[in-house]
Amino acid sequence: MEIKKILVPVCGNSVDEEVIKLACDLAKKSKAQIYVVYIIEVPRTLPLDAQIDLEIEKAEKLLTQAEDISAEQDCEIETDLFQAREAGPGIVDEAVERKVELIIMGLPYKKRLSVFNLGNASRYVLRESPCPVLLYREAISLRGE
Amino acid sequence: MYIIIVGGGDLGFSLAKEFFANGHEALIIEKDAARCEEVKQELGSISICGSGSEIATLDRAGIARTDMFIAVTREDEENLAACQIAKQKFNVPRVIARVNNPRNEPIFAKLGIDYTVNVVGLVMENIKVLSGIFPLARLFSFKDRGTELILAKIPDGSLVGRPLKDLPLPEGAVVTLLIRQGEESKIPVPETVLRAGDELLCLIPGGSEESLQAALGQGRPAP
Amino acid sequence: MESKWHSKPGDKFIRRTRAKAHPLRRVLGVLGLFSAGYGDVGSSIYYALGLVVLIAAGATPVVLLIAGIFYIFTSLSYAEGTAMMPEAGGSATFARHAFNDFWGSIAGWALAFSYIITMAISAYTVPAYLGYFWKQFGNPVIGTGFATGIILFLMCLNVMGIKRSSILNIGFIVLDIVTQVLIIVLAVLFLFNPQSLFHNITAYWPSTDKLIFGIAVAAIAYTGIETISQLSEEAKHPQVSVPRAYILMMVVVLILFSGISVAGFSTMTPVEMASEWARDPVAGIASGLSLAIIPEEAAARFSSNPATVIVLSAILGGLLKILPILVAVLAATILTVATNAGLMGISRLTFSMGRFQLLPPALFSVHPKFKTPYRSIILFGFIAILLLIPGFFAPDTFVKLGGLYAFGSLLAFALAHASILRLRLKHPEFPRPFKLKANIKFGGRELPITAILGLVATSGIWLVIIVMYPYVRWVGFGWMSLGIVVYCIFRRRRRLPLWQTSSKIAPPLLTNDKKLS
Repeated sequence: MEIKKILVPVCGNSVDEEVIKLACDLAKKSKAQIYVVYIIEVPRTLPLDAQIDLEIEKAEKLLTQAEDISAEQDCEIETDLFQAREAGPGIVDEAVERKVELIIMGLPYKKRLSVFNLGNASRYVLRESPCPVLLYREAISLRGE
Repeated sequence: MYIIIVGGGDLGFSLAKEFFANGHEALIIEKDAARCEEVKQELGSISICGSGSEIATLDRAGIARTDMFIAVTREDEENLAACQIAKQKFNVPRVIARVNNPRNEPIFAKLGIDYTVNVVGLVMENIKVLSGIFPLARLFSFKDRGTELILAKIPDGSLVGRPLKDLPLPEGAVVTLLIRQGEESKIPVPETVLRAGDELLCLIPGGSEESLQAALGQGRPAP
Repeated sequence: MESKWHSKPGDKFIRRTRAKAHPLRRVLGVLGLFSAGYGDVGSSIYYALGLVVLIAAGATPVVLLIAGIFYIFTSLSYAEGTAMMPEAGGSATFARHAFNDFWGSIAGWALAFSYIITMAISAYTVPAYLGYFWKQFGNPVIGTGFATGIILFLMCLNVMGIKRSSILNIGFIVLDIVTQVLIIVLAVLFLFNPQSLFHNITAYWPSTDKLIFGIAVAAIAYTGIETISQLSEEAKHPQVSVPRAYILMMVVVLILFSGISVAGFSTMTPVEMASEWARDPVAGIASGLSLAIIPEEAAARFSSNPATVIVLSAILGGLLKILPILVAVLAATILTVATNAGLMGISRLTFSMGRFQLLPPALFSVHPKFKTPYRSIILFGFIAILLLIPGFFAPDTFVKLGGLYAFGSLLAFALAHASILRLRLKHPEFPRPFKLKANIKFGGRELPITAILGLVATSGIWLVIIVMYPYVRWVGFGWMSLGIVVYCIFRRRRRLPLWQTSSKIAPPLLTNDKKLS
């Protein structure tokens, strides 16, 4: 299968850096184009086009970091910033619109009430995405949580 | 506009769909998880699983910025509780409730929820019109203006052949349209001669339905 | 990809455009930065030598050396500043952070001035070198007309968005360096005569005020500092690559320029250069070399073997024949490229100034179809042409343009030095990936000596030329006043403070349902 376009959604947690590096490695082989998207989930207490400066700042910082990481790996990425009610539908919609051949999602190893959970976004994307999805769960930190 | 709909059944679902089609944003609050998922599949991530009368859920749903709150579940208690909270605690500008049992309608009014839709009454009036045997059918109540839209049928009797101005309409009533079989509907004037089977679309003050009924009943239908 | 997935009515998304309107990717290494910078400075020797000779006559090599030292100071300050704040905008950015937006705007406006003049002078010099092929280009009317045509042509190219091809650029730079080295080698090997050199310098030593003016104008030879700073946003590891690029450029430029000026005075006297070759000095050197060096004689100096002599003289003969042609073509091309670089540089500068709310956004609005900042390109192109117009009438336009350039660049560089010093005083704790080492202690802070000397030198010379040369004074201050007025009106309208630094960049919002633009 020829992978010419890869979508990498990020949300500002510890696993993003590894995921971008992974995407770069994959992209190098097949000279694929990488799209890194940050989706700001706007709570329903605000209108969808609200400008949440804190989130935007966080997103900008992360996307710039992504550009730096990819520059070090010698690969070009395109970044985008969206606002949606829920990340999952946003990711799938973007994947369809851009006609990507692969989505790579990072999953931090977090336990809620000592139960490990796929987040809502991952579950939605795994279920609904028309294209293949690669889920990358980060290593379990030895620091212990 | 942002609208919160409590109840993800067929009614709530269709409502949400309509709102989106008209460019507004709607949110459905539905108790049943399976139904919640179904709504999400069809309409997108626009539903929250929870109870519409729970303050925490309503908060999460962004009730603080909502323009309209509509409770359309099959349980009047649920609708009443939700609407009360919306109206009194959150001051939502417009609150509309579905009332399943007609007997509960006055309770809603008493508790300050002035926009109610009595489903039983609604269906009944529609059937009245369709059956054609009732002289009067209430099409719609403009609660905020205190007027009602009535479809009145002229029976065989003393009214036939008389001009419209002879019809003892209640105070403040307006006859807006004359619908006649086989002819084009027209706006009647006081001189318009009435015929049997004519239907009049009237706007009357709330509560004067009975006097209109009486006015029409002056002529009894032929046995 | 078949999509069974359909977009649902309730799912709406809003795309936000990112603060960086054009995605500047970090792709440039040290060599890339160097070639961009050298592409800028490498062209200036083609006119600077003549310009300085017109003013400083015999003292030219000395003047160029002194100006070169100041160039080192300025490069070092820029290296520290850009490594600290790798944003496009050079001196304007330093001043913005060190002082406030007002001073940032002053620096930016002064820089813009120097860019425009660089464009005008570069364009003006092209017909001078092409005069090798067509004598008519020596005529001021035709020459100025041709220069105007070049600027117009480049304006169109830039508005339409023709991408510069970096391979072509690098090719020219290599050729240019090789040619200059060739000239220097030939001159040093065959014509270098310390006595006559010394004579040329002392016999034609200028008056002191001309000497100082010469130093000021000599700054025109040393451009390229801003270019590297402007590109720092696209540099990989700017904290390391930018200082290295500056140092590399400094070394190469100083060697080549001092070499060329020595070569110049080895081939002709200052009077000759000032009269005949003022506008195309390097062509003069090339012609001088081909006249003065007789291949057989020169070859004989190196070898007594007859066969070697014949081969050597053939090679030399060939080189000397093509040298003038090479210089003419190379100069014309490099100067056109430099004019273009000036145009691109100014649109980048105004873009970054607009981003930080120092300029009204109307100036850098992007063409809907071509996606280029067409308004600033056209505006500044026309101002450059405007400055050229006196060339139709007055023959000393060349010197006037040089003076104006000095006004703008000295002011901008003085502000750059001042900003570095101010930042050392105000924020000694800021991370400085490249920190200047030679410091003196003052009030518990470390101040770099090079910046202090640079500040004194640039501001001192700037004051001297304002006092002595009315044309420079009036046009220069006229331009700056225009800039201040524009800035004040714009900031007032936006209800932004005049004196503070507004560093907030509100990311623009692209509403409505997602569409890929």
